[in-house]
Amino acid sequence: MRISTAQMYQGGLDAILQRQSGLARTQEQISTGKRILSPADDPAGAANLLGIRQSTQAVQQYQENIGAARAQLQLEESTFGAVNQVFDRVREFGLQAINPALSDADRRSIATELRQRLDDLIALGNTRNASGEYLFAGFQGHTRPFVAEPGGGVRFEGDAGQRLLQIGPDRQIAVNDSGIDLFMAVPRGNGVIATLAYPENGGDGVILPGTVTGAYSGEAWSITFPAATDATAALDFQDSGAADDLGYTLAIDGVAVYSVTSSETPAATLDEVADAINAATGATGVRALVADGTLHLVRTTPSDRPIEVSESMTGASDATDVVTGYFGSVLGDGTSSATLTLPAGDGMRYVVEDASGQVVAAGPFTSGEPIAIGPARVAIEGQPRIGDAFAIEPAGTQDVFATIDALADALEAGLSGPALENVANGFLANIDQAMEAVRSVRAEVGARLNALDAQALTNEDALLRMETSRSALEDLDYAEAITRFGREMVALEAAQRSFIQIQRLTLFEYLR
Amino acid sequence: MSVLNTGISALLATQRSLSIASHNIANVNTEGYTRQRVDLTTQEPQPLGSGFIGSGVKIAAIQRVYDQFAVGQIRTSTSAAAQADRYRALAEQVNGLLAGVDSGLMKSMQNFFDSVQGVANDPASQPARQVMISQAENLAAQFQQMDAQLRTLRNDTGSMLEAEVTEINGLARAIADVNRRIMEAGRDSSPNDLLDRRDEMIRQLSEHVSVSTVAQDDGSVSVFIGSGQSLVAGIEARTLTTVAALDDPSRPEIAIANGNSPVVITSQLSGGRVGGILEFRTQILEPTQGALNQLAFGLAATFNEQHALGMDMTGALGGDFFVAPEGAGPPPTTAVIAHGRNTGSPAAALRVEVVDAGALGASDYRLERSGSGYTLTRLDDGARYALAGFPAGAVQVDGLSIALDAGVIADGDSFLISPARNAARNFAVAISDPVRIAAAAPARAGAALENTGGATIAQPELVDPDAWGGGGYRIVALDTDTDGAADSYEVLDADDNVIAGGAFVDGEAIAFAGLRTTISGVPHPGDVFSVGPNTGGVSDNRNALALAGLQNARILGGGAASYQSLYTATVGAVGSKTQQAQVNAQVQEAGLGRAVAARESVSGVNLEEEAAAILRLQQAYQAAAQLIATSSMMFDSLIAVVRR
Repeated sequence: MRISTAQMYQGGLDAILQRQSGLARTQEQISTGKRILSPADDPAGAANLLGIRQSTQAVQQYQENIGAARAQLQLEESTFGAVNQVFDRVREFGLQAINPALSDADRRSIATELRQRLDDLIALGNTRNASGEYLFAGFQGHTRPFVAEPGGGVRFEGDAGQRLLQIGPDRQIAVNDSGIDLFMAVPRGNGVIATLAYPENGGDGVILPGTVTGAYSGEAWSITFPAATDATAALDFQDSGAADDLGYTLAIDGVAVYSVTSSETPAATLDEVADAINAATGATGVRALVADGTLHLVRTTPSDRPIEVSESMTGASDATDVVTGYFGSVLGDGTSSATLTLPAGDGMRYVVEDASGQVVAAGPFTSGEPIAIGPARVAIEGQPRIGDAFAIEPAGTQDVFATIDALADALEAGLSGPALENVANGFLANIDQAMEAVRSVRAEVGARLNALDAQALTNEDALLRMETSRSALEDLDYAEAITRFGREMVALEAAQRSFIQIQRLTLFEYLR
Repeated sequence: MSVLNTGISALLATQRSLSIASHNIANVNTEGYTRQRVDLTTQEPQPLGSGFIGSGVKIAAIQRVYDQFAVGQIRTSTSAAAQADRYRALAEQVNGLLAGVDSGLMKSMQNFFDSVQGVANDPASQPARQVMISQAENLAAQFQQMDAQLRTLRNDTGSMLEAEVTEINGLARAIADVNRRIMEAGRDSSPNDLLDRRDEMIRQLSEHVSVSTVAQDDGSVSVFIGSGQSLVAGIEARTLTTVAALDDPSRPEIAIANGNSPVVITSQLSGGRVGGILEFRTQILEPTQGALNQLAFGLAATFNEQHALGMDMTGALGGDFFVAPEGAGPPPTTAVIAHGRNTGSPAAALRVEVVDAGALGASDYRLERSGSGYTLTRLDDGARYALAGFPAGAVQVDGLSIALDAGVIADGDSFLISPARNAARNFAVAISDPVRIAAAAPARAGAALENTGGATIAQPELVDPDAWGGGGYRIVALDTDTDGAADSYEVLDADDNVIAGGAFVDGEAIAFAGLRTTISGVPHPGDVFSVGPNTGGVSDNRNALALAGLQNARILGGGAASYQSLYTATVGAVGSKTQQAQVNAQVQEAGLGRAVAARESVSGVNLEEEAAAILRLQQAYQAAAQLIATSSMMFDSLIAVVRR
């Protein structure tokens, strides 16, 4: 083919320029160490690369978040350590308190100690983190959560809020716990029911925490040790001689509670008698309970004071008129009366009532034998006296400060013996619950710390994986690039040399 | 005497041939020069009795060595190569703009969301909040800067088109002028250099826009551009101008003079640099601007939506974090441009609102009335929606609500709707006070300490800011069938009015007062859960977490894209278009090279050839001179004979 001179120059020049630009590109790749210099070099790779960089930075942020979460949780963890020490100490005081060898002075000094520990606990509850936020205040980090009330007791000013941090693409973790879970909403008793003895009890019956086996929907019961009577449901008027309107009056502790005449229909069942007695409870302070066919009497306030039951008759005109009372008194002589003193002493039978006064269980009492009340099983140890009472309530919650306060109050009030023991038992059950509450939060914090470590490893793996992909996409294969660079240089030199050589070849060289 | 005459004719012919050779040599570097060749022929022979005796040589013609096909091929290839090269050069600019993986929008976006996580980690910290605002401002600056660069490019394409038009007009006039001179030279003369010049100017024209030519009998050439728009006819050249598009004044179009009303021919033009610029505008620049604006709009609107569900440090509900993009709710967008030829009177006032930023696309729309039907066309993919019920009522398409507020749309009227047009330019941070960052949620809940059941209440989330008045509420578990177990609940307000209630189901949502919460576990009858304003909740980070979670949520493009993927897709698209452009530019360049080689191999000057010709002509000249000498000698001999 015919070639023009201009074309020959242009062709040679083009070849050189092309090789130059290739060489420049390779040089830029080598100097930056990057294979992809702009998205056009590898559009899919460049888009992929953007995604990888973004993900990498996101994961790095998660790692930072993990650091922040760890610092916060470790601070909580160390606070729990201190809280546990206080609890251990306080629990020891509870055990010491029931030592019968203690003097009043000893007990008062324990009370003082307890109150100091209480202050320690408030201070721990108000722990702040490095940025000055209260750890246990929930969402209200700038509000002091635990405030001692002037009249005793501690008020919680925080809330139940929990802060979560993002530690992985789909993973959040809580970094604080509310003071409610720690100190305030501590279940009483065994966590479902709480048992307590009335401080007025005269016997040495000690009620144990009990167990719940079935579905429990928050009922409350009371266990009483009433005085059993021989009362029968029969009132017998025997009017001999002249027809009289005989009258009968029943009095409890000297207060008339029931009157009836022979012209009226008298109460014919124990329940009616009990109703009559209970109608006057306000005046007498005595209640009647019918259980297992027996009428029991018990004071509304636990007391071992004997109950006096008096029966008297009126309206008799003949000496042979006789009235036989419910309690078995045979009354004659027109106006005679009989007084029965119900026995004080060991309570041999118990009666369980629900909140509306319905008797739900009754039976002979055996120390330490669990009493079945609905789904609950509760045992009383020792020997209650007649008139003693115990209560079973839904556990609900009680803050640990109130628990400690209660024991200190009892110690300061000079309680001792079974009364103190019952208070101390309740205290121990409650403080155990408080310890359990802290322990479960602490276990959760531990689990969260473990989760942080696991997530940190996962994140590290992800970072490594992404770095590998990034490198494969973006980084230059130096061996290949340098080889290519050498090859391109040789090609450029060859193009230049051959260009010069060819230019020398012209007829005009010879046309002189 | 015939020897002398023959010798003289040979001398003259050789002399002319030498001057043509030297003309060829002189123009070895002249663009568009076609080498010339002398056609020699014998002079009329003299008839003698014994036959004809030749009387020498004469020049029959001086011709261009010319291949019409090769020249046409060069024009086509030049147009294609110029278009590909301009397109590539412009594409590379946008490509370079998006290239910075370590800087640029992507990095700013990630930094911003990192700072949101910083606030989530420590919501009560003023420094963390300040960092979030600073990073948001950086992000805004990136959006604005990128937008400004793309706008500059857009302006540049306008100036480039104007420059192209100026050059095309100049060439057209010059071609018409050369046509005139060629016609004056007469059809049988061959004004070779004028023809060359005209060919070269038409070739230059083909660098600007693709051309076609028709040779006329009078020697002139008619030049057409685009799909047959006559640019040069004989000695007449028509003028091109740039005019603002009637449907979008911000877009320059190319029009050709046609009496008093220029006709827009942009859509008919292709090839050359004009074609490259137009292709760049529709293929790369406008989609990239659209995607950037879509991202800016979507980010600002969706971030604001979530921000409004939170509570700032003063206890107020979150306000706008970013300046609300124009058209996201009232006041409505102004990005409706009526076509310049609309005839509706009074002029229609269209109200276009973005009701769902997540459904918004990158494209502009055209609303047209044709007969009694109204059609909305999505311009990037040409999807058409028939608007039923419009203009009587508002219609919703792709997250847009379009309504006619006032005025009349006449048959044939059209409107350009570009809902997010200025979103990137106007992207800005609305708040400057760190306490105004709504990192917390506005309500909190708790179980009463007196509760005996073991149920727990989840922290409530705000779902409807308008319904939330910041009051305190109690949820009470009730035992309506008196079997001892809680089976329903009531929600009481602060004045003990029952405002909600229902059967209690473990873990099922309870909604009231714009809030939603759940109670899990088994409450006892009478258990109380309080829900109230999150007063003092400075350590609450719930909304900050939700804001941070937006980063990877697929909430844009109708649930198909996240902030990041939208941007990455744009980078990928521009990258692959640039790559195609680079490959195509090389292919076209090679094609042009082949076409040039083909022409050069026919018409190009080869110095060796000319050198050989000179040698040859030198010898011929010497031989002819020898003839003169011989003739002179013969004459001298004759004279001597006579003198003697």
